[in-house]
Amino acid sequence: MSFKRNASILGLALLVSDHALAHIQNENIDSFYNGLLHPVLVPAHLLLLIAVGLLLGQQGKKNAEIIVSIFVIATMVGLAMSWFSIGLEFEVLILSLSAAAGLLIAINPKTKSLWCTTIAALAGFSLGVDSAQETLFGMEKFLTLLGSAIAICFLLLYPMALADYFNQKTWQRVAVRVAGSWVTAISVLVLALAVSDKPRLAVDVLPQ
Amino acid sequence: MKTRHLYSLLMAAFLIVYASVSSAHEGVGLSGGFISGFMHPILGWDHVAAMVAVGLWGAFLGAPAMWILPVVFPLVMAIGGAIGVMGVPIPAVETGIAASAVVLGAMVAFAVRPPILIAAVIVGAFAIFHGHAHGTELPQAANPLAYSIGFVLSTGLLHLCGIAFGLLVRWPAGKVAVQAGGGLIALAGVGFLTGIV
Repeated sequence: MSFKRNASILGLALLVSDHALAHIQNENIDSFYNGLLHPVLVPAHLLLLIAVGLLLGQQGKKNAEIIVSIFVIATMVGLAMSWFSIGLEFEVLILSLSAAAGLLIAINPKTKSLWCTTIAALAGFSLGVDSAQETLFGMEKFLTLLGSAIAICFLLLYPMALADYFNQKTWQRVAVRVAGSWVTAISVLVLALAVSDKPRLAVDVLPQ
Repeated sequence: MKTRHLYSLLMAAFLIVYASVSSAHEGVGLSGGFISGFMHPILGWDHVAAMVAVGLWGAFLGAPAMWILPVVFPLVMAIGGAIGVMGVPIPAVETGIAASAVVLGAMVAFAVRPPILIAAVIVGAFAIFHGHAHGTELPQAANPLAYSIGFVLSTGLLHLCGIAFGLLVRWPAGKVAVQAGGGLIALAGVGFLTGIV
């Protein structure tokens, strides 16, 4: 690359460089992408997905397909119910499930298929119902919920694959268990805030 | 060839220097909550000393203490945090935090090797004080969940710093260095207790 070419790239880079826009303005993106981003931008949802994903991945491949299928079905049922915007608050359930999943990861008991299935089903359902979009209607609402469904399922699979991969060496298994204890600590703290008389619980706040 | 690399390096250096200040974090919302939570343990010397000491002691004791202590600490810390969030007072929280640096630092300095259960109980007892201190700040946070994520991650990374340094115990000189590190933490703890530091 010649000096001239370097200089032109440099000039162009200087012209186009500007302040970083770290936070997406939700009103500027379409419904489907909004839905896709919803579980990523709601910390409580993301925390639960990470916890359940790590829990299922930690258990290895035994019954994994069945449990993931149950999670997907429960998510779809939850999202279908969210269509009618039943208006129930699910933050406490979501945080409780995160705490339980994190604790199971940290303790790492040997047999807990039933626990895993129950937690996965409840997690899928509560995440689905809690993804309600009260202000949207018709196709817009459908596309948003479709985006959320896809994101929820993928966000479960990523930590699951990671925990499954991190199941070979001692330090890897320890790292997963430490992550579980962190999830429990975070969830218990915010749960305490939710059940105390403090005025607000901002677990659902999307960045503006 | 060399000239070409030199031009590329100069260009890269210039771009790095020219980079404008990022305005991503404004102390509000998710980012503000996360950053304030993340910085809370780091900005307090007493917290830093105690967290590093937990990792250091765990590494000094070897497996399974090396991972049991960093798992026990956040779990018990959450209980202390919950007590703090609910506004239940715990007497002498700051003294407890300072004492944690003294005790945990001294454990490393004097190469104390109690059974894992005793070590976990000692670490867990001090975790209550640290959790309470963080928990009382939680309701004021811009976003409590983001704040919790920040401070739990930060606490875990401080443990990791201690573990990383503690792994030096495999070498004879490293063992001396780790024990000296424990001694420094204990001395710092005395400073926190007496108000000198």
